[in-house]
Amino acid sequence: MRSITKQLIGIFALMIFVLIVPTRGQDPARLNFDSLAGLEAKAREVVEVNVDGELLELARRVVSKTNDPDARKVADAIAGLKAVYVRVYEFDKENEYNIADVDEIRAQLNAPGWKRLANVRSKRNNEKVDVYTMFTENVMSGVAVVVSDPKSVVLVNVIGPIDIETLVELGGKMNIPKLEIETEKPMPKIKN
Amino acid sequence: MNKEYLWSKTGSDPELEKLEGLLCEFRFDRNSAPQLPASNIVTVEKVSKGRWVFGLSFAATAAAVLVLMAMWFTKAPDTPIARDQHDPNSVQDTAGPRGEDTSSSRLDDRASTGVLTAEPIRLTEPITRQSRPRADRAVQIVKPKKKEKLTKEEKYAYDRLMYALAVTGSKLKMVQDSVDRKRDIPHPRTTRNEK
Repeated sequence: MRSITKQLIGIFALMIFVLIVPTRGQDPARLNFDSLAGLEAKAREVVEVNVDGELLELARRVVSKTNDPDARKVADAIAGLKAVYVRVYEFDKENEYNIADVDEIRAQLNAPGWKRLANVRSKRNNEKVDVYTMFTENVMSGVAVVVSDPKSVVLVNVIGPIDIETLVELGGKMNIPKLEIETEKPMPKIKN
Repeated sequence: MNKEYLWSKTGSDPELEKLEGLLCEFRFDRNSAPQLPASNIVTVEKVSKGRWVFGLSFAATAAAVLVLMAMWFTKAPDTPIARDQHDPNSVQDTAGPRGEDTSSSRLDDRASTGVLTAEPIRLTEPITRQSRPRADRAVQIVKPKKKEKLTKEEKYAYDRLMYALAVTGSKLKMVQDSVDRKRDIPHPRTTRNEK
């Protein structure tokens, strides 16, 4: 009887370990992009950029090495950054994708911790933009941007503190490749 | 050996006479041209043609290499003279009003007389250094800006990060612009209340 109890306790402990360890490893500000697999199949252009871990450290080192004043600003803005994940999907025709897939991402942002910073709804081009932030003990721990219009979807998930004002100021400057998604030019397919 | 026989052929020396007898066939004869003994005749036919072909091809290759080297040295933009000729901005000469820049005038003279192409160009030193003493010239060489050398991995990481930040920045800017636009437009209710 004792041995059965011991076995049960062992199995229970193992189950707790298996359930807890992965959730502890994942940052609460990290969004799950699994629901976007359907978009990737239909999209004309797909851009997936994941910058985290060693890649981020490497990029951070390069930015800090550069003498450009704008690069200095960027280096300061991303000093505490942990990761950036970007997804861009462009479609040939309007409403080619299922909006429910994007709404699933928006639903994740209703979870506790996330706060809506801004949302823009444009009836002219049926565009929706949502900006969410997550703070942990008065320190920014994440930013999420969800942009959807009939022909494109853009998702940005920033983990860790980041200086939004500097980013806005430097958007499109300093070797930062200008976004082509808002124009009709074809965008190169970058897969990370 | 009888030295008298050797120098003035007086007396006798059997050893020298024996040698004379052996070499008499090579004796100088005014009436007939000397002939080599048959054993010493070299047959020209035995020289292989391959040796000539090899020699000629080697000489041609060496000549071609020399020509190419000469062309490379004279046309390479990194050589001081070539840089002086092709890139006027690379050396900013701030010589005095006396116009002592003999290098350019000499080059012009040579160009006008056609000597420029014929005369070999010294590659070791630029002409400006030879033309004037060091104290007289004030030549400022514009150095190219140092570029950061990035490895492939660094460039990849930098590009990815910059792209991600650009997307984030542009979208956030879009939102900010929309908010700013809304702020600029006076709200109808507010205006009504003000009235």
